[in-house]
Amino acid sequence: MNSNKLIVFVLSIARYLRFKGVKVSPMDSVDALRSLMFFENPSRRLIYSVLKTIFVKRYEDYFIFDSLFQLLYNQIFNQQEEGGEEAIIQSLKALDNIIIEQAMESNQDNINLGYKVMYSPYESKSKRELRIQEYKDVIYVRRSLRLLAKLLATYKGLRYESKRKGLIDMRRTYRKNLSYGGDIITLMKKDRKLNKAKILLICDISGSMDDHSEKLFALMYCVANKFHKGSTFCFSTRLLNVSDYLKGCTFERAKENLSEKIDIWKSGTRIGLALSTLVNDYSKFLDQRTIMIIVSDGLDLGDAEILKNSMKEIKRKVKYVVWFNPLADEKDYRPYAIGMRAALDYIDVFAPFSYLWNEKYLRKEIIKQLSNSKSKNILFQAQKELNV
Amino acid sequence: MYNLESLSLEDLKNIFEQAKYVADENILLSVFLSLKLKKPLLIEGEPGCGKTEIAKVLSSGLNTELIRLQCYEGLTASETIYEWDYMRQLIEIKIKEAYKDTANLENYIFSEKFLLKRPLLKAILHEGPMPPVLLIDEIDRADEEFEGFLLEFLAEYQVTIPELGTFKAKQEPLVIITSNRTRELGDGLRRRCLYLYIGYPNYEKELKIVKLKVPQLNEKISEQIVKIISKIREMDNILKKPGISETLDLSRAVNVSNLKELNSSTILKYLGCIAKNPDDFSTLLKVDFSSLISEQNK
Repeated sequence: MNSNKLIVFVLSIARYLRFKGVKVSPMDSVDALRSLMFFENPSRRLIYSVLKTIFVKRYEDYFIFDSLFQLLYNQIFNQQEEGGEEAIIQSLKALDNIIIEQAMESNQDNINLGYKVMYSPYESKSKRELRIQEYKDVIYVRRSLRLLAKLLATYKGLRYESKRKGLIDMRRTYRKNLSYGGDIITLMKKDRKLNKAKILLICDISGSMDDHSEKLFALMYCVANKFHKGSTFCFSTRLLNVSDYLKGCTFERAKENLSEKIDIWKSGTRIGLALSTLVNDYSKFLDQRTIMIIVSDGLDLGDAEILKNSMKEIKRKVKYVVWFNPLADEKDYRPYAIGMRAALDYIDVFAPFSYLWNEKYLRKEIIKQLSNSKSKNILFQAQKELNV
Repeated sequence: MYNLESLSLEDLKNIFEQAKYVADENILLSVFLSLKLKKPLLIEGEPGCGKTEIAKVLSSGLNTELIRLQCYEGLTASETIYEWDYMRQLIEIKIKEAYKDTANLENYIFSEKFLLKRPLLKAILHEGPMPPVLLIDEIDRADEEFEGFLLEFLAEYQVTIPELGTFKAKQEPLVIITSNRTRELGDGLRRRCLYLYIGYPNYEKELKIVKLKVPQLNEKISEQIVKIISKIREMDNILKKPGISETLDLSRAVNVSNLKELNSSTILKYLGCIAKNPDDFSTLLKVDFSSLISEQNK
């Protein structure tokens, strides 16, 4: 095999993989060429295996690599005998055009928001194509969720902190007593830090929440991938466990999974039914280590009694219930919708959805609502007004 | 004894064969390139498909030490590099004081004698003709902060202990990192590693594994077991799909019981080898295994 052609092939495939979004560094190309040098006259199969091992770093990228390898190998090595160098350059140019066209097509933004957002109790099976969205959202929401988990921590992690009671901390005892010449006079103690929480996220993806789909996706992705004990559900007319579609996937792959496999986007809303499914079928997710986060506008005209009973049961089982409502971002918002009203008594923290992207406000709100100054918060006020 | 410099793909194949590990071309080539390029090998895949086993085979085949770092949530750098043995240091101080021998005491108590070496430091200080195999198992269970620390370690293979100085590996360890994909690993770590994905084996490969690992088992029963397991894997409502280890567990269980034939009731007896949670157990109880077996017999 002509070694010059092999170099052209390796560099071309690295370039096209980069174009397709697979992260291939120049060092990877060098490694690939070094690796191929270990073998005399490598076969097509061997070249394929070597390049796949070096260039592909994710299972999902195997498929991109496979299709590109086939395309490029045929273009470069089969054209070689027929037309020489010039033919290769021509065919690579043609290939460039094909790949650019494919990329343009896949990035087209075809979301139509020209419909009116309103409540509906009926199911309509529809899929949602999520737009290209920046990963930044995941980073911001991760910070806020970490803060939330820290403030409402439900169980001890593996890290220690100094405490008055607990295990003897030899390291600190030793250092503390160095000043007494090594005689143990003061014993220092340590105990596990209360800094962990199991997060259970329930997102409303019904029609009335459609404007927030992108943010909801970032939130779901973050809970599934950035927290060890995070579970993600979404609901509209039914409740679906979507953790498996998100866990261990790249951001893009997860987006594709949710777009393709969830058929209840923009459907009606049945919060009560969804929560009662959670209580009955997924009760193992509800325990005293769990912080349950619900993201919904609470626009449910269904049976409020089912919702109330489910919320009561959930509140009994989990440590905290936190509700984020996009409508609460408006200044004069009051939670008077039937769904919201039924759930109010069982919510520990109620905050606007946008606070999930604002660490500072979220911290203030959580501290305020969990402290004694409850009279200041929107939740308490609404409860009071409703009672009157 | 093999030499890393002159190790060929054929030698590696022999090593895996001797260890009764059925390795396909992809596995062999990835391990081979990892050894030759001196880059860590990141192995992802379904649980129970032989990721950890690769490190074990490699260490026994190359006749070198296997250093295992089991990752878990909350794992910190100090737990993986070194800790001072404070208890022994205190006792030593007391003894020295009793004998009034306190000259140069500070240097003495902060010497290597009182250092508790954890896996990463052990891998760096390893001495021997062959570099050790460092297995960083289930990296996805560790926090992202630890992953960041690991990047630094994998780039330099050196560790600094303030009291003793910097230690650099004489021979770079052969690093195998495994992940069950319970969370997405960072790009930085992926970029530094070669990548291998091990999925569920195909029928031929799995049958070969069963024959190799449980040679006493009747051939017909082996075939039946492999077919049944592959059918179970195809079911959508199974939460934890059985891996190779489950196939081997079932094969060994059937072998120990000296069964001559496999039927529906015998499979139900050994369901504990396949189903690993109550939901799967109840799903499999409803499966008509007799029709599966008769289908195979035809």
